Amino acid sequence: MQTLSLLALALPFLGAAAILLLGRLPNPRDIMMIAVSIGTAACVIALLFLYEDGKTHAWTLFALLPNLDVAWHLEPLGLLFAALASALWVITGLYAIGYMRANNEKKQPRFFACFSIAIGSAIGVAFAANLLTLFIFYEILTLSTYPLVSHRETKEAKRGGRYYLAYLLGTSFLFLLPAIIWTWRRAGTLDFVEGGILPGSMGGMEAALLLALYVYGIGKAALMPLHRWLPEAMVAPTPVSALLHAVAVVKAGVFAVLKVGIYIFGAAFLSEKGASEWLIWLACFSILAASLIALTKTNLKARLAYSTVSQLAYVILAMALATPAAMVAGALHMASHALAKVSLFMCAGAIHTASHKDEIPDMAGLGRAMPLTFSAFTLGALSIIGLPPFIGMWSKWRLGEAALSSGQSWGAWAALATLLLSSLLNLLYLLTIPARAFLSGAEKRVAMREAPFLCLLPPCLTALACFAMVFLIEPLGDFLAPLAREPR
Amino acid sequence: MMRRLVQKLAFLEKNPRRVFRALAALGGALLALDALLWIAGVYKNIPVWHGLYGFVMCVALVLGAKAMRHIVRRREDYYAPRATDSEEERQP
Amino acid sequence: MIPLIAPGWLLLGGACLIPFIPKGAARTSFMLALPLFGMGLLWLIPDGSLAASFGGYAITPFRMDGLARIFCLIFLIATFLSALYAWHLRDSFQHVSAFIYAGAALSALTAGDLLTLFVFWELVSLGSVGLIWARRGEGAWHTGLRYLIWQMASGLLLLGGALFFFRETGSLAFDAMTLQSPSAWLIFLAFGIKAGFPLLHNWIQDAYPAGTITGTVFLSCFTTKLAIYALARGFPATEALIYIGVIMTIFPIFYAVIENDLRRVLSYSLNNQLGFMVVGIGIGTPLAINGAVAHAFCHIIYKSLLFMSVGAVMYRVGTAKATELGGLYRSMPLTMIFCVIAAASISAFPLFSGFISKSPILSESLGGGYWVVWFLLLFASAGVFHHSGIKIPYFTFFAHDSGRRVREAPMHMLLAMGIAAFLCVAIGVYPQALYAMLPFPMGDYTAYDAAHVIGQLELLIFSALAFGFLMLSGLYPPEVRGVNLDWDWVYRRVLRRAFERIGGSVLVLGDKVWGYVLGVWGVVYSVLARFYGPGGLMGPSRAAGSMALWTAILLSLALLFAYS
Repeated sequence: MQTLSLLALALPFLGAAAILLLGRLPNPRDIMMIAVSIGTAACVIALLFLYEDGKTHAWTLFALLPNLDVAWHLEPLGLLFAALASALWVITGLYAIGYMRANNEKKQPRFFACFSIAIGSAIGVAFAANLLTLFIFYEILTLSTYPLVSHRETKEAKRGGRYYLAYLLGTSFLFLLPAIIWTWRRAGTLDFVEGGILPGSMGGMEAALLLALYVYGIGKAALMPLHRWLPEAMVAPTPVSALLHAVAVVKAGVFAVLKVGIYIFGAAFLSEKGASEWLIWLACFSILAASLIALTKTNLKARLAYSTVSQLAYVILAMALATPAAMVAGALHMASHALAKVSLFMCAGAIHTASHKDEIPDMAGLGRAMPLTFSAFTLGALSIIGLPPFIGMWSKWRLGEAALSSGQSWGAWAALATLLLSSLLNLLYLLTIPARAFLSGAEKRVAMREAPFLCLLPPCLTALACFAMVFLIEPLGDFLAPLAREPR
Repeated sequence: MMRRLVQKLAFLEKNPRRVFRALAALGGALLALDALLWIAGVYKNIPVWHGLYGFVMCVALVLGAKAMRHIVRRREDYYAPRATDSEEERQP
Repeated sequence: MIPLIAPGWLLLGGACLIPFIPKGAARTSFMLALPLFGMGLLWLIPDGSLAASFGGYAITPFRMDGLARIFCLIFLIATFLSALYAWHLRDSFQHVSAFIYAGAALSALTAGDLLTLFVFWELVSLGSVGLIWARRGEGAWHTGLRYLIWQMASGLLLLGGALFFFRETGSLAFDAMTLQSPSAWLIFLAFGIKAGFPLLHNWIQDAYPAGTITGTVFLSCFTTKLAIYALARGFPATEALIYIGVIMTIFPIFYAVIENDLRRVLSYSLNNQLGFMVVGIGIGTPLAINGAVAHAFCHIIYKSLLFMSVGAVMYRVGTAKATELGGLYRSMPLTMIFCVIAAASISAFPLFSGFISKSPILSESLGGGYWVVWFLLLFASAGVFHHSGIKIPYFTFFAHDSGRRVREAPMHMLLAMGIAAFLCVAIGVYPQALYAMLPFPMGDYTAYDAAHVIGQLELLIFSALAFGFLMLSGLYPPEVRGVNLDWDWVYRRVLRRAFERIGGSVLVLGDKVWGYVLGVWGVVYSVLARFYGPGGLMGPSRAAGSMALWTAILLSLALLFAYS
């Protein structure tokens, strides 16, 4: 298992090198990338099956300081995130090939190499055994995605890239690093331990302050008001948006938040001290405010970006509820949102590729020309809204259930009301897009004009996965159950 | 058969007072029957009450609604373009 | 234990197949066969329930008992009639929407737990909105959106209620509840939206007149009656329902009198009829619940018949506005006859279906000592006759001659209306058949005793006299074009305006703040660029400059950890 997990970590980095070597030969290069992505996904999924609860799976790469190693370990949450990132890499990789070729984008070797590194570092974040390792991979992820964001090298792209870098680096150095040091001073270790390492070492006020440093230090989680980088980074080519804003980057953010909540603070400690109560309200605000802003956006990608901001806050809300059940619900929502949102982004890209339309009002009536794309979009949207029978409904259901059993009084009501209200808002800003696309301008007969096959198949696959995942809900719940265990 | 029906109705349409008188006669007969049954002790309902109540309340309903209309009525395109009220009704 | 597929699931499965069957006779036959086949299934399926587990919850995806069975039967009949009425339609979107809608409604009837109920409850909303959007055009789009928001709000309240319920009881079983916990209140409100409770009712009058001709026939059958079923299942004998129901019967009739759009008149009247059923459920004695259920059964037939006849006129003439119609008995005599039969049924004339279903509710309100309720219900009955019984047929087929000469309704519409009209009369003449299917035994109850018949006839004849008197004396308010403000004015106009103003200024403010942030960042960036950028203090090139920055940061990091 050690080799397998090291392989899963190293493969994307090796793949990046290989891509750069094969840079001038598009076909071998792209085949190479797909092969590497499939290999990585296979490794992670094998780990998923080999993983046994109760055993420790932890290894050290090298020691940095006494008591402080660069090390990795396996646990359900990390495995889930790694599986998501690597499996969706295969799909977004295929999509990226189709998209980049159809749109004649330049500098594809650099693009795909950075893509691979980003996935590798996401897996690194997923497997990190302590805060320091997590921090290192987190920063590599930021740096490797910067060239992707400003890939087009236009003035606008560079500007978006600058905000991206400034926000993510700024927050991590201003808040996350001090938080890590603070934790180190208090607990004497940075390891992720079941039940947390902080209990007993600080009071409620201090814990709340530290939590604030973490939540805002992990800028990738895009909690309001530090969310503006996300819509600004939308200048990137769509596959990047799909990868960054649905899978690797933002999910690394909320994953880190969950990880800190579970393994640094510990759910019991947080709820006992009431250190995360304030965060419930902030997360609720973030959910609703981002949804409202999304309503006002007419650019499809910008709307999806704000939708992401809103959905990420769900996971933060789960963490703030600070019960084991809520943490599981948060992990589930992370997965369900990744699947649905990646479909939506890929559909947006397919629309752009086939019709060069980015503004939502222009898309009215387009559903007749692109029925498959818009059907996939509809499924993804329904899942995000939380309608049956899609996976999104289940994560919302679990989250609602967790909110009610969290022991919070007003917080539980607020959380539940927010969940319900935001479903309505999601409906307004998401479902209206395909509905108008299908229903407007019906008098005219239009010829089918879908995007190229490689741009079309991936979103259809992920949209169907939103439905298929429903049947995995029980095994998934069992797999994540250790997160809900009381600390030993 | 249908043609004869239409002719009959056309005749009635031209003589609305005839219809009204026929109805009034029917109503009178019902009232009488109601009172008779009550006197004969077939049932204990208050006699004649349904008829009077129906008449009075219906007049009140219409006059009340008429008064209400002064307050609530607006032009047909009041909610346009977000309503179908003033749209041309073209349907397959 | 149930080897057969539930009728609702059959319809849902069929809905998925519809697009693959060529348009025309093949498809329409298929759509007609589905509900017929469903009736066969319904006949074969015994009472009982199916237990299952999903996602770690014990659920009951299927349950059949007396209450569910009679609702299933009428929903299947309504699906058949509405599909027959829509024989001419060649619109796949409407076909699929309609059958998803009907199938989901049927599946919701047989849901034995709140989770399954929620799933189909939402599917009902999604399917039904298609029948409004299918009209196409700007107005239908916005109306459909408003409709969908209301329906979703209902679904979400149900979701919240189910979550609370699970938290309180540890189970999700959907059975009778009492209004004492947050869960019950949330679920009550969820049902209340779909049942058109006062102030939660506007979506009915807003959306139904905006649906397609055939779509509105479907719409009038399922959503609200599903809510009635849910109330009968979840909140029998809840006293609040009596008063809510009475208000529901009263206020719509005022609007119905002055409304010009005949399909909206019917929507207000629908709301009023729901009130009778809600009162019956609220009284909660076996006879009253039977009355409510029977009334729902008859109501679906005669109300869809009314919508069909007005729809047929719309199909031929192109409008359903009273001001534009009149004198059509010359052109469409058969449609007129069917409309009059439906009108007689809804007005509860003896020998028509409405009479035998409304009587139990009225007698139970009197028997239970609810005198005021009884008075008001009587008033509402007179009002029903006034606007549905007289106004609809009178302004469509008689009144002043609009001069329009059109063809009689197409054959399939006449057939659908004919069957519905036959049922209206058959049930009225031979109510025992319906009474035998009701969830509770009816004993030797009969609506046909002298007191009932004479009282009801008197009420109706004198209401007609009142109408005649007002018409002849010119006091009757003339039909005029226009819209009437209802409670929905508050959110369609007032709140909308307020939201636009406030939202706009908040956005402007947000952009201003963001502008400041950008300004500050610009300054910081230029300072940094001066130090680290090309030709800057710290590096000859950008790459080298950022390298230097990073080295510095990492070094200080290492130092911090080493000495802390």
